[in-house]
Order: sequence, then C-alpha cells, then structure tokens
Amino acid sequence: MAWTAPATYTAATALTAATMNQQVRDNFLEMEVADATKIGSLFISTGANALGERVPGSQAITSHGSTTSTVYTDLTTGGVGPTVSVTIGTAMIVILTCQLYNTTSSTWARMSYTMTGSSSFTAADARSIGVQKKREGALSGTVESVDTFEQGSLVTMHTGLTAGDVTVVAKYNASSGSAHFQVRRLMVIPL
Amino acid sequence: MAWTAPVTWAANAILTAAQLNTNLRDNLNQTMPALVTAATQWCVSTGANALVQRDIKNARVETSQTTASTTYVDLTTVGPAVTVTTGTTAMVILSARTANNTANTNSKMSCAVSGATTIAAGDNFTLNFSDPTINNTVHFSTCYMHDAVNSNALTAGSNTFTAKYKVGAASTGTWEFREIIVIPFN
Repeated sequence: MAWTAPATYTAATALTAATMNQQVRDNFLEMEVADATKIGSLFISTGANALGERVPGSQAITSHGSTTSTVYTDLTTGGVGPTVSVTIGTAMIVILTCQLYNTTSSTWARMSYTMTGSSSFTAADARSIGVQKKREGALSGTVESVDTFEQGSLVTMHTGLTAGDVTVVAKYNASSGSAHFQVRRLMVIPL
Repeated sequence: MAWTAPVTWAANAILTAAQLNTNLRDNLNQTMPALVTAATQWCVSTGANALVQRDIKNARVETSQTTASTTYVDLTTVGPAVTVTTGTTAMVILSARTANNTANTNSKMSCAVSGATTIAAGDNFTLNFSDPTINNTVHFSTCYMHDAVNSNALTAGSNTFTAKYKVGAASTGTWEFREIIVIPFN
C-alpha cells in the first residue's frame, strides 16, 4: 500500500481498525526502515512520498591490461571489466578510476563504460576518463610502477533513466598506439 | 510540528486525540516518505531528530570552448550550472576534458556560488591541468566540500553553482564535456 498523509485526530471520534491499518501499518511500511533489506543501502525517493532502496556497487581489477583498439572494447589482456550490477531508479552516479597512459606521444588512453538492462548507454568519449600523453620509462612487469602512469577519476551522473536492474561494464580505447591501464575501479551509486 | 520522542503506552490509559496527533501524525510527518516531493531526492539531518529533503543534481555542457582569460570567467556557453537548496554543507564535483595550447601552462575549471551564498571561483578548488606538450588533453574530475571545516560553508537556502574557467598564464585553454554535480549534505 502507498503512503497516506497522516490524519488529524479529533476527540470523541472512533478509532477504527481501518484507520490504524492505513495510518500506522501502511505508512510505517513506506519508511526506509521497512524498505531496508540489505547492508549498505541508501534510500532515494522514487516520487512524492515514495522511497526506493539503493545499494551502491563497485569492483576493482588491479591487473595491467592494454588495447590498440580505436573503438571502445574489452582489454586484450588483464581481464574484462570491471563490472557492476545494481538496481537503479531514474538516475545514477558513475565513478571511473584508473592508472593509464599511451605508448605514443599525443595519443589517447581512455576508459568509459557501457550500461545494459532497464537502461542502456554506449561507451563514449563524453563520459570517459582519459589522458592524451605518452608514458615515460620502460615496461617492467605485469603490474607497472605507478610512477609511469597518470592516475585519476572521472565522476559523471545520468538522469532520465528507466528504473530497474542494470549492468555497467568498463570499456577502453586508444586513439592510436597502445593504451595501457591498471588498478581499474568502477563504482556505481544508484539514485 | 517537530519530532516528539515516542510515548510509552500504559494499560488502561485513555488514548486521546492529542496523543495520536503528537505521536502519530506529527512524528509521521517528520519521516522520509512524508518529506520527499519528487524523484531523486534524499533526506539529510539538520539536527537531532530533524530531517530535510534535498535534491542531488547535475548539469552538463558538451560543447568545446576556449578562453585566454587569466581570471575566472564564463565560456561562451555559461556553465554548467546547478541550482539546489542546501544547508551549510555540500559536495561539488567538477569534470571536463581540458587542454592548453602552451606548454606547462595551466587550464583551470573552478566553481562560483551565488544566491544565498556568495563564493567566488578560486584556485583552492579547481580541476587543473598543464602538460609539457602543447594541446595534450586529459579528462578527469575533481571533488571538494563546502563546509565549516574548510572555512567555505554555504548559507542555507537556494544556491547556484556555476563553473568558471581561466588559464594560468598567457595561453588558450580548452574545455569540453563539462559537468557539475552537487550533493547537499544538510
């Protein structure tokens, strides 16, 4: 049952079971404490007088991966993703974090994401973390020294989404040359 | 009416309309379902037993534009800008793809606040990039808080957050995919 605006009680008026069920039972069932089913939830309105439980998700992949693809794709090495599945309302905040560089001067290494499910989004430069910069120094191993990478985050917000379950997967490209990435983090805060 | 600590009921006590109004009506009106008025709101506390609803908002300007100003100014398309009702504390997140046509010269994106609060854009809270190679570009975010701890607390009320831009020295800075997100925390 939905929320009902709390009634004003007057003396000498019979208090009925129907009133108690509507005003106490049904209204309490609309509160965040009644909605909470998981650890680490936040509660976001879905409209006037209505709440939804939202659970942020995140995943990190530390391994070094690379691509020479000029279109957004999975990395050739280092594993697909990271990947996060969440239940969203009509908005969400996406946070991309990684260490990245390209092996060629003035060429891009970019990390974006796709979203599938109740809403969709195709990886795009407009919502990507990226550097247009050549790496300094020689490659030395599976996980490169952090000193050879640029590192940072991109925070972006989507609105006007369709509520439901979505899966967000990180994707990567290089404008040319070879783009390298490690310590890749994807966080999604559903709203 | 404000929140009242829920009463402990006793057997054989008379239940009055006044008690129901205080303990049921008025307390229910202090809860989150009563306070939210639209989607994408959350509730934050304004003190003990007191909540208020707040909007989480963003704005974007996709267009690539430039300035050669060494003081914070608007680009041809002003913003992005967001107007939200806040208390004294809010998180601001700025994002952009940015470059500069002169080696080792900064391109800076900051944020000015107007409305209930007046805070000028400043170097202490910027998205800031320079590179030895001209026109090398990055796409990143920066994040900071307006609060009493950082001596930049907001004045409660309707506040507009507008992105501003400058370069560190004689040069031309470029910005596109510009975004601002404001999350009020009280």
